[in-house]
Amino acid sequence: MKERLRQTSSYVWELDKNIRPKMRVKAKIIGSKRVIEDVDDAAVEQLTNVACLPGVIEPVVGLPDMHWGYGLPMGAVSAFDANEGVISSGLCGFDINCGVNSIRTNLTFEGIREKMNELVPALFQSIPCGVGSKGKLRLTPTQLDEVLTRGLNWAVENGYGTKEDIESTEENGCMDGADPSRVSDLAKRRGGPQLGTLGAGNHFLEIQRVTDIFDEETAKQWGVVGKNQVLVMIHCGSRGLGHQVATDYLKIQERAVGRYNIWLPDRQLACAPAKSKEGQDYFAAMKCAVNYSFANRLVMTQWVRETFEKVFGRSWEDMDMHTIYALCHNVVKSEEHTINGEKKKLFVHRKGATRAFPGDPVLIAGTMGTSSYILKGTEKAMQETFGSSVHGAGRAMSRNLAIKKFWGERVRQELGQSGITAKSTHPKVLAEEAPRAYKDVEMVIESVHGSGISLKVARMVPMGVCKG
Amino acid sequence: MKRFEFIEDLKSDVMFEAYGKSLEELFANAAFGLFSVICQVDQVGRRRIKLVKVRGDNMEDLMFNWLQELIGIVETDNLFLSRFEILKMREDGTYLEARCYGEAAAPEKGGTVVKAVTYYKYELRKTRDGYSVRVSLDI
Repeated sequence: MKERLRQTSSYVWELDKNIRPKMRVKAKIIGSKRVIEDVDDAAVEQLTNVACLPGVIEPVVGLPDMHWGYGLPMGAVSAFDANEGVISSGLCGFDINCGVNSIRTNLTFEGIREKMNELVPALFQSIPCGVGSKGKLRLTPTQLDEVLTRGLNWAVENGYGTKEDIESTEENGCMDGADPSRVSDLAKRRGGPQLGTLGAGNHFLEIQRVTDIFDEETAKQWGVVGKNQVLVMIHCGSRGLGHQVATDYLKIQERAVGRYNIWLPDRQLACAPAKSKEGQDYFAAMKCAVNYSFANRLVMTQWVRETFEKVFGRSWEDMDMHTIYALCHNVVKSEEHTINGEKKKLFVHRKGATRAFPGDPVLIAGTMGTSSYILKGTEKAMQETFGSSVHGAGRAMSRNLAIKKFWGERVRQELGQSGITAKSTHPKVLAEEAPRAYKDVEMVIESVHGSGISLKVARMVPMGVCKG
Repeated sequence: MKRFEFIEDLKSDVMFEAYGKSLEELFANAAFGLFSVICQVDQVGRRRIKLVKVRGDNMEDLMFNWLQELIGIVETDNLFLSRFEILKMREDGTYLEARCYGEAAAPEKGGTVVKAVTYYKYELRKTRDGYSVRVSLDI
């Protein structure tokens, strides 16, 4: 399938809709020649699968970090007409509102270097992480429903974060129309005890140091003022609650596919007409998971602030520990976009993709050995990618291979030699998540900036890492 | 006969194939394969017992629901499981009952979070020696 890609400009590659039967629209990939060389053929084919779904709006987009995922690649965007199109649990993925919070400080790395050996273990203590970790909150079913319906409003009213955090979060930390009655009892039982937990796998909490500022004016507006400034990044999702919502609705929508006579090229692309009960129920349940995830990350943000207070003996306000921005990497949104000069209501599915509206912050999570970025959304993204940008680098090798190749304790030592303090529940995690098991994020960012779908503002590298 | 083995197919996720001389053995081995991803299964004791009942439309669906049910139990019951006894199984794949053994989940014996079982290349087959199932997990 890759050989069918046609380069139309330096960073745009297209797949015509006549390259296979049943494609309704064309697909395109944003990326340099090097990015395209790296892309799996199977992932390219997945874009063409999505181009076969009803009501799909041209084009189906693969982003520079795209890599194979279930149904649709991670690092992809697909939009559907609000009337004729579908809403798809498969196209959103299992970790609903897996996303990132970036928190600034007015500390410099030189100023905290000596305390890193105290700070990282203290954070590890205060933020439950790893499989089987116990959350510290005990919510009643009514309280959990409040979290699902009200997201960050619940969090702030209960002492986690402030009004400013709400204002610095996508959707103001709460998607309207979340309906807990659409969320199964099992999803609630899985996620209930997990609010305020980091989970495992590629999720992390990082202390970062700013290494480069590319756009001083924008950076300053967001409180990023100089090299060596310390930032904190939390990468996490909706935990078992979101996983179960996705699982439940994949089954429900798989039945809907038969009922509404939708032809699917891949079973993982389960979907339902946007206006159908199966489509709207999923959307209302997904919003609950989105709100849960926003609350989850803000609860942990507050514990990070309290830990800094203990270690440095100053208040978090005094250390200027405000949220720069908080956003989703996996989500379905109802948005208005201009299509062929006409405003249209769409359901935009971002899977491993960040909303990148003009002027908004875009947060890219690296891995424990590589850089993370803050970018700025652009008008170009509105024209090219339904206002979307990348989410990270993607893996270069499987976890199983990484375990065989790397040794956890050695990875920790190597990170240590690079000045990175890493702590995990067990060494295997560090081997699985070894920096060399991931693709080169710099190549991804070069394509993002070069194509103009978002612009570089600042680059950070990790100095302290907590992983499940 | 191997209980299960990992298949190198997915970069970001995990695929394994489990084997069994009988369907009962296949279900137990597939569950063991699943828990070898979730936790360090060889270090997990057998003090706690959990009875599990699962329904399905057919044998393939039953296996899918069984594994999905076990993923849920890790979080709802805070358990790591290491031994699985299939007590009852209807031949048409509509129902099974199992007794599972394990211990309280703790991060020190953890592996990685398994979000869900997926349909990617999912297949339960009759083989020359018994049965096999291919399972891809979203992690």
